[in-house]
Amino acid sequence: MDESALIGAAQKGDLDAFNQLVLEYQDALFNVALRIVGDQDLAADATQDAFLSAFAHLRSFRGGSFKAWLLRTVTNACYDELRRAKRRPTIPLERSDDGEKGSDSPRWLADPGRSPEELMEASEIEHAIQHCLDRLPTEFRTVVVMADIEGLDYAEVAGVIRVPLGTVKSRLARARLRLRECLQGFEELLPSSLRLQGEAAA
Amino acid sequence: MKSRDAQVLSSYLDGELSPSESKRLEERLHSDTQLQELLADLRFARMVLKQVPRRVVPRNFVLRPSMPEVRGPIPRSVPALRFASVLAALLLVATFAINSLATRAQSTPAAAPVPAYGLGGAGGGAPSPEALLQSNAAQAPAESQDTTATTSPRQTEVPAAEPGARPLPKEAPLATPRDQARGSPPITIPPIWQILLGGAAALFGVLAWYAYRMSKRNFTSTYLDK
Repeated sequence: MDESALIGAAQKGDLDAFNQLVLEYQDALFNVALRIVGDQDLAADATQDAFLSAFAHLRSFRGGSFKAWLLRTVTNACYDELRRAKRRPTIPLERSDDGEKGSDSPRWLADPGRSPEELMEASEIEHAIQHCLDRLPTEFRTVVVMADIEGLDYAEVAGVIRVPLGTVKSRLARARLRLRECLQGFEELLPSSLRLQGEAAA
Repeated sequence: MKSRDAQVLSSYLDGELSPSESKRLEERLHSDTQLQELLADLRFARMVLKQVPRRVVPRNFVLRPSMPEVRGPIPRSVPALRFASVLAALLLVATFAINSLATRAQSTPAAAPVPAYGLGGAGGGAPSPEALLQSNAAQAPAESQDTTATTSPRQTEVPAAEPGARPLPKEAPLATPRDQARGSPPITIPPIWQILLGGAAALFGVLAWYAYRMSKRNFTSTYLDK
């Protein structure tokens, strides 16, 4: 069954048809959520909430890109998760009592709650990028995740977050500049191939 | 300037500029080293972000009918009915507001100027033109009370304000259009409209709730009561 037929069936209440769409898009939604909220558990919650909400409001989908429609749903779910997390603050991610000048040093990444094996498994570059993403304002982060990580074009990003095209361009450029500035603190973590590419580009 | 350049360069990297815009930018890039550095920075950030590994989902997110949060697709009529209910409720509130303002406007002209009559314009705040007129009249010893009566249109409205005043002559009141407007009854919304709007708000709300409940019941019976 093709996508439009699955959507049509799901709009009539067919949960099995909707679950086929879930299997198709859960990877994209989870990864977007993970980069926006920066936490695997929160991202899983946001993804689940997004699919629940999408099924309940499926009749409001009136054609166009189903993926973009789902991404809008998960973006809203992420904003809800972030608001909830803000209301219930937990242990801060960055340590402020170590006397270091800034938080750009990779030493803050040391997490005493993790085993050495887990730390070994964790990709440092991924952590560094996530750290820099987390430092962006949410609206900048969303744009950069959609465009550079998820690979949407500007018009699609504008459709997902419902802002004018000019706003997407502006936010993306500013987000990239801020990320460049932040990533300077992690250059030693970057793979040598990437550093060489960066130097060549410069 | 930098942010504008960054925006153009960022769009250039993503292939979002028109061919003519790209050509103009490339010409600038040949001679402007600062622009080249900015482009390199943006390119680097973009490149690093594209290296972010994709995580495997920790579990499947398929929905099961047994999940308490799962409900069938909400019928299209539900949001429309909710909107109609809210609209009717807002209109109802607006009718109350209009009627309240109208009542206030009706009571204001009768109450405010009374203390100023023949008393030299006592009372707080800035004196109104009528009060000033009254005040001037009271201070002018040459003018008789009859003259004051003929020049003040206010006295036609509340003749009892001066106990000793003689009945007004018939030709005395020269009502201005403003006074005529003040005297006309203000427009109010008849209560029947308020009843209708209140009823409509309640009816649409109940219908929306009922449609929602029915869709939930149909979904549950399809998947759980087999």
